[in-house]
Amino acid sequence: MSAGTIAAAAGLFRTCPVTKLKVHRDAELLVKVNAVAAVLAFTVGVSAAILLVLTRWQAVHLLPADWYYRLVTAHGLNMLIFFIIFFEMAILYFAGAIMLNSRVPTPWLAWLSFGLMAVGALLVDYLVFTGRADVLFTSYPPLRAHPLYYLGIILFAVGALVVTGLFFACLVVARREKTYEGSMPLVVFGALTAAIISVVTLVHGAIIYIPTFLWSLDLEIFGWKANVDAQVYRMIWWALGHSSQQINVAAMVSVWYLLGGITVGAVVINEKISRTAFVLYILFINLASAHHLLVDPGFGPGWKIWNTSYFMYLAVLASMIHGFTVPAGVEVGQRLNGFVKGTFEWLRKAPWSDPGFSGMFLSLIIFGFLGGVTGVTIGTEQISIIAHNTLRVPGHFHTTVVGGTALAFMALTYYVIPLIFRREVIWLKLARYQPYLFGGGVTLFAVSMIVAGMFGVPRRHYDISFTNALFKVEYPPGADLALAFLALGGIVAFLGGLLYILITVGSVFFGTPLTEERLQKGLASVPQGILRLPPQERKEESHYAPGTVILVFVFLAVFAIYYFTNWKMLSQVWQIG
Amino acid sequence: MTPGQPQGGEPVPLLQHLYDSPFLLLVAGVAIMFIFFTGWGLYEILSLPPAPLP
Repeated sequence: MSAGTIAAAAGLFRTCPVTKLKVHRDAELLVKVNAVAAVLAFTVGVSAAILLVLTRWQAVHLLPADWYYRLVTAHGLNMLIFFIIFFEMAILYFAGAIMLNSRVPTPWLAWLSFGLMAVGALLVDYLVFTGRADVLFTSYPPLRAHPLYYLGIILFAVGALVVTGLFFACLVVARREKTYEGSMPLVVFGALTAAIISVVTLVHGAIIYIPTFLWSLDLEIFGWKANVDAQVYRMIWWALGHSSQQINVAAMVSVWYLLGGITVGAVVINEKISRTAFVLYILFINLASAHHLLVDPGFGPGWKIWNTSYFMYLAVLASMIHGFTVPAGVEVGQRLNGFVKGTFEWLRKAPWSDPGFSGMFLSLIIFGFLGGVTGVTIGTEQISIIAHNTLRVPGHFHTTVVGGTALAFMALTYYVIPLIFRREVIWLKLARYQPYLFGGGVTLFAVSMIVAGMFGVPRRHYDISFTNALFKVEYPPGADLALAFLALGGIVAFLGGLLYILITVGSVFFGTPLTEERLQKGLASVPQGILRLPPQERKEESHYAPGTVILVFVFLAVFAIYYFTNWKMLSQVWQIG
Repeated sequence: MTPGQPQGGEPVPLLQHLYDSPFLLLVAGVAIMFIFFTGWGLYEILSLPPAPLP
């Protein structure tokens, strides 16, 4: 290699002064644009959310019916698909190229795929907001949107699939160029899990959206008319709709491990166990797509029970493993940092004013205690019958996707801003409160949804009183109270979301450029993990985590109480016992 | 966050071979989903007898 070529290659990389990682500049730029696109989609989604919250609040009931359904569609697409998947693409570039000291092998293809995703998202949003796709997030036939709506989603999915392919290419290049030794780091393994789930998801998306697109065109070729079977659509669509949220789970758990390491020097207490848990996700977590089909007539109980059990609960076991190993790793790390007094000094004296840590830990608690417990319960075939199509379902997934994934991604953003955008965080003092505001609001909002759902309040429905219906629908007064708390929680979460947008956009565009000098002098306005990166490798070996063991038993008690309460509720519905 | 490096000279365990093979994991993940969820589900739908008209 000539000196000129070496110099040119050297220009493709920079060395991060904090992590000492070799950062491929194209990968860095791709992380940036995907993160910005994610925040833009989040802004659209959160704007729709506050209007929906104010409509769900019966005392206000803000929107007319058509705009309510339009915004439910826009909110679902922007939050569950565009925000989350753009952010996950950023994670794939970060994990595949940057964490492995490697590079994106074909940057032009990466940019093309970003273009496809951006055009697809813009097209979908344009059609939704102009009222030509009032089909909700699920777009169940026979509801039919404008053909370009389906095309937009296909473009977005193809773009995302190409990025996933590029992640695999990054792994091959890194292995071939020997940029790392031995097994890939655990965080990258978690990203690999997300990428594999993403392939399953996007292939199912292609399988169902391409015929639906042809159907929406009213296409007829030589007497053959494109058609979509409603039951087949529901089955294949949910392999996209639910599995896309499992990409979130894998990406979120990877972010937990990453932030645990960066913020307090958390230890991975057992690499084999954590990796095995990720492999259980790869093999079994997607089967849970069947949860949405538990009351569908097209499937027998064998298929339903087999699939909704995540192949006999092996993916649930995986979540419980991560739910133990992540806080246990934090506890062991904190104890090695010197916080050894009593059972919980490690937790009391954790860096709670670091939004990276607080966001990560709150995400873990909300996801585990609320999301996991409610999900496994309503995913049980018998219990599903009293929860299906009630507000309990969105109550559950707002604890997993919003309180879990979105909050973890927000926490990560406070580290992405200085490490990738190389800017200081504006309003860092205010940012310290943001995870509490958002996490607290989402918790109140989602728990209220679950309570309202227990009173039988339907999900999605604009008019829960069914005005002019042939039958009379009445709810106990508690339902109205729950909906008012839902609004209160929603408003608080909205403020937390707004603060996140202001801080991230403000930091990226107006933040002080991060210099090594200010960093070394401790003057930079960045989270504490960047000012004083804790040790990432420990000489001592310890597995002593008594505090986490207590937390695990508290979790099991909460789960048992909630689960068996639901069986009791079911028995009362059926007047048994 | 240290990569699990094989010990010097020791043979790499079979499971670690699997965990270190992204494409094998990909094939396994896709296959299980297509067999148990998609394939079995399609069979269930397609083998439904037509409902008799009332």
